[in-house]
Amino acid sequence: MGKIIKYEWRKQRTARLIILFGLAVCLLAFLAGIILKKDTTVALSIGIMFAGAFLVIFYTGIESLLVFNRDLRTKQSHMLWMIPKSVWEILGGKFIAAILQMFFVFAAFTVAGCICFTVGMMKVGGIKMLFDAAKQLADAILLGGVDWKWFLMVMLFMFVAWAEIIMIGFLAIIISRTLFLNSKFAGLFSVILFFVINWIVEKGYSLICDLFHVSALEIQIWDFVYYAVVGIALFVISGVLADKKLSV
Amino acid sequence: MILQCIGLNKSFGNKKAVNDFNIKLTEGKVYGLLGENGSGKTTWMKMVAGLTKPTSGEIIYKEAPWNYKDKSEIAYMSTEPFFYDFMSIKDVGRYYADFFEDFDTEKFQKMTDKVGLEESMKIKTLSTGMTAKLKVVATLSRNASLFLLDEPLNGIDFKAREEIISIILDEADSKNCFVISTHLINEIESFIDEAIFVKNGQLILQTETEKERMQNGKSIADIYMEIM
Repeated sequence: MGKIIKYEWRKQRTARLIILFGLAVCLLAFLAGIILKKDTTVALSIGIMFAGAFLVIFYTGIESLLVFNRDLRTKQSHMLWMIPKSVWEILGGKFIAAILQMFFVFAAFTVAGCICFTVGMMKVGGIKMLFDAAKQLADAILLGGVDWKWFLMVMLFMFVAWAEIIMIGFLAIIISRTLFLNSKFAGLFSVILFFVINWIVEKGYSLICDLFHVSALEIQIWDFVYYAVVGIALFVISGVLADKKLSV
Repeated sequence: MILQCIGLNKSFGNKKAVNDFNIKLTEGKVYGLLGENGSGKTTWMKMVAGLTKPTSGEIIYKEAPWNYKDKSEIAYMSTEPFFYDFMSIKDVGRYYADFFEDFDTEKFQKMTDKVGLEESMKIKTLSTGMTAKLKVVATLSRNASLFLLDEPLNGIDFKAREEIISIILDEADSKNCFVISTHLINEIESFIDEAIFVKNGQLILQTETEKERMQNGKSIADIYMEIM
């Protein structure tokens, strides 16, 4: 599966390079603003990076689905589907590559944020303020000022929910390409199907919340279980359908 | 026997692309798969290659029901270009080496040199003829048991055709089997052992070329004109 991931990773290389280039430009603009004391440039670059982070992580996930759709629609699909690997390995490799791509983008923006924070601190209060801030942060972490359990729950929930979204996308595309092959309606149908499956999953979540009288507003262990089970079910359905019916 | 198809069917909606297709192929032979456009040749090849799922029927490969692992011994080459745009010719070799244990990198390098391709060339910059050569070279660099070549001579000049035919003849031996789909009957008539005629998704005739020539005095082109 490692080799499948390697080539899937390469398919999104252009997007990664553009994202990194844009991030580098924003970072340089931020540094230039700090050095030249241009507050507007500093604020603008931070604003773009902050808003860009959400958009780019969202786009990265969508791009994984677009790549998958292309891998079924065009003749390039032969490259992937002619290899002697099971459907499970191919879909699994694609899924892991999609997750890795998002982690990579998330990590790049986190590093950029840390650089901005460090430089900003040094600029405002010098190296002493930076050390003070670092010490305060360390104290908060060590003395229990940070609710790690809550933080990890939120991060894990975002991961599971996003992974489930990718699975819904995979299933919608597989169903669409199975029914419509290369018809021009297949793309539109897969988008509609994506929202329909998403609605069913969320409806199921609400129904079960009502049934067991649990709040849908708080993140609980129950949420992970639900989305993990749904994600696995979607993966299994996608795999069986691709194995039995999908033609490229 | 290397491959047998029993009652193979493939429908796209109401249209039957392959209809009750029965065939037996044996090692050590080169088969010509002949038929008009839309007769079901490509669909049949794609089913044997595992790219298209049959609606019904059986594919038996080396005496056992076909499964995805058989792709490691079946080399399929489609009519259209199928390499990833972001690759160079060298990357194509690496890709095949990564996924096919029977891929011979040294053979690939020799053949690319022989047909005038440079490893550093990018896929998206290749001409139609170059892409056609690369498809053949990459596919035939595998030491597969069954080769399925869909229109390998399409869109290329006379010299390149001769080169491709020469490569095919070099690779064909008693342990493997070649199925070559083409409209250029005259180009392949001299070296195929058997001709398979396909019409409306059905195999209508499978015959030995030599026998037809010797016993009936007919060429494959003659038979084609008679039954199509």
